[in-house]
Amino acid sequence: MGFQFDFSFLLYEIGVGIRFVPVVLLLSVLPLVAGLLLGTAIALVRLLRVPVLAGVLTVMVVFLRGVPLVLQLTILYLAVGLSFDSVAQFFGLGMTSKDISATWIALVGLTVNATVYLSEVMRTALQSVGAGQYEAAYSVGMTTSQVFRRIVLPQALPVAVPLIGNNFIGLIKGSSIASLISVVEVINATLYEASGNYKFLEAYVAVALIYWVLCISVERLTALLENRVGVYGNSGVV
Amino acid sequence: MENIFLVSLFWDCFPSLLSRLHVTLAIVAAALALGAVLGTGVAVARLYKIPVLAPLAAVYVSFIRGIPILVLLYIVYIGLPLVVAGLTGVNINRWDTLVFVMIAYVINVSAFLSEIIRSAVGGVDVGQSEAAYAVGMTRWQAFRRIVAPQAVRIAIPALGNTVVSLLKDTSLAYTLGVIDVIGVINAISASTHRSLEAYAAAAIIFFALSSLLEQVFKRLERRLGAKNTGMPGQKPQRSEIATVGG
Amino acid sequence: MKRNKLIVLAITLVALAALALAGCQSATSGDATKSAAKKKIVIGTGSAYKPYCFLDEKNTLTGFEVEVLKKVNEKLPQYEFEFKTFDFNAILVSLETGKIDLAAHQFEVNAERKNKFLYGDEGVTVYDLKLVVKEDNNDIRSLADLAVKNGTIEVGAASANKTYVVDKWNKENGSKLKLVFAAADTTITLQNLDSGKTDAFVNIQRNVDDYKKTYNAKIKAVGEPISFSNAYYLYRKNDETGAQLKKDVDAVLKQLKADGTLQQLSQKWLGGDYIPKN
Repeated sequence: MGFQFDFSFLLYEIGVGIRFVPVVLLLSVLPLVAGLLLGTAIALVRLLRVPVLAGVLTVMVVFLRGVPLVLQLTILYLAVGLSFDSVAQFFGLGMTSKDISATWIALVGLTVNATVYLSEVMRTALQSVGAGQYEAAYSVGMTTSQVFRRIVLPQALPVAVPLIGNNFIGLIKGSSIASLISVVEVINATLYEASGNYKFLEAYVAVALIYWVLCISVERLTALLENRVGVYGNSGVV
Repeated sequence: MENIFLVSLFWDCFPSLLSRLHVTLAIVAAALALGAVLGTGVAVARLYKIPVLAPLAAVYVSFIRGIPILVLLYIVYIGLPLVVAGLTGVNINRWDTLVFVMIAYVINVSAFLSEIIRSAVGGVDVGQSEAAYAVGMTRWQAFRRIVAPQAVRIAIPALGNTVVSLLKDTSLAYTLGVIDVIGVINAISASTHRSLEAYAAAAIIFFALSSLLEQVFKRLERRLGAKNTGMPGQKPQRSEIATVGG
Repeated sequence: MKRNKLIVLAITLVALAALALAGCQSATSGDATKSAAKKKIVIGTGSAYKPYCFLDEKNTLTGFEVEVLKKVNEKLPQYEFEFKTFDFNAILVSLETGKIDLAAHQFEVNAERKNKFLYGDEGVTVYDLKLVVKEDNNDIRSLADLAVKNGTIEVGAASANKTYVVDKWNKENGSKLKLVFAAADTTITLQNLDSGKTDAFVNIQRNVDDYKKTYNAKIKAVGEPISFSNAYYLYRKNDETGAQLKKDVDAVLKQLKADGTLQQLSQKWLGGDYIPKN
């Protein structure tokens, strides 16, 4: 058949791909952190049933959860290209769509996505703390910040940490979709190298190995963290 | 801003997109049905700690869950025929691209399903099996009558999430040239010179489908009296909450 | 009861999957039984490159590449051509691994490709790549002009010849250019040039003319072509089917050029005579 798997090219591509791991981390860590903050805010708004805002956010979360990431990113990419200039002009921003690179668009898209899922995580985590706990804490005279720090967080974290870890892995893998809107990350960088010799299989296997290692590392990290926060779990004794 | 979004074109996109819906659904159906079989096998290998197979299964699950579907699609498409030809001498290159896409999703889903099965079976109290043995049931009877029904109940929420993610993941099948709901967008943009409208229409279709699936699973959950949620201090299962990436 | 329902559900799913698999099986095997004596040739092309290979309103594959090859097949009754569409990057890999026998997606010649694949002798269209810039841009006429400004240039897919050509030039000339893979579709390419996100892209004159007309794009092709080549059909190297097929197709192409059929098709699909004389 004339097809030979080229192991030396695989090694070469692994080298190329590793240099672009920082891009993958940028595209996953930043959305994770921003998504945690925004997601917690959304979760609180929904749990406290803030009028109007809670309804709007619920609709947004439900809708975005149903739309594939690749569509979200592509639509954002197209919409920014088509409309950003007129919007920027309208608001008097000193920017044009020229200044918005595909990487920024991917960052925004992934952050929106992370926010949506993490808001669900935080909602679940906060809900797992029973209402009686709050009441008990307040009744012994704790302030709101004390309640959160001493009562809610220690109980919500063990629930949230593994779920956050899962979403981190999801974001790492999801960042690969940025390659489809021309962001040069691990996939596109290795594909460039294969553009002359068509050794795409080797390129993709290299990418797979890199992603695998990344995901395993995050899994290990989450497990470690889980043990740390688990101390305050339901086992009763500290 | 007049030409950013043509509403009439947006509506016109639906018939063409929906005309390829069966391809998307076929991928989902094949992936679920065969993925369940493969996933059960993988789970059994790990649950019963079958020598050699159990560690292999563990690596398989870890690898498949650790790589993006975008990458898996390509590796299956090019790599699988090489592996099959190397092992058996059979040339499967001429199979339709859609078949390779289906296989890729079967592999992907099997890894996730095996984890769900594993944790669902593991989630049933050992005491239940012991009690079943105590009243004289065989191992198989205990599994079928006592463990399995409870495990199914535990698994339903996570299963729902996996199915919805699978549906959304099929949106990447177009990268191999399969003409499904997303793949047909290229055809639309080639003739209309616009694409935002078509992508927006596709987003609506996927949203409708995933909402429908979510509802189905919610109902199933209620029907089967899935484990009561919202109990204070109860730790939800990992895969019960949807995850980014679909 | 409940369990029975689950079993029914599972069986339905399996049946659906089986049907789906059978469906795509029959789509291919159906034609095969019809003409058992004919040798089936699988042709790999794309579905999103108008006017060369694209899906029409009824989602059927058509375009210059497809119609020319259909004409070729008429003259070669010993073969039965079957068209399959792929993502551009997957076509040549599919040829290499034996998923297809002939690749048709306006493939130009370059050294790397020539190493790996068997080229037809008869060119199908003229395919000289030019630099394309905004209509009011008078500074850039070559890759060198662009490099001086550390410009951004959009190339094609990873396996496109334009990507290869520009990447190679860039590496030989100090890597000053910033390369961007083409994303999504032509609308974006034009939009990115218009907004200044990219300073240039690469294409052929007749596509540029088409974009000016159909997209009302304010662009122009400038300077000398950055690559001279015809577009060819590609076959598998060191492969009997490939060698024979190449000989047969070349002979018919020669004939179709002589009797004006190709020129006619070129007029019809490409709006002018772009058939190489060679």
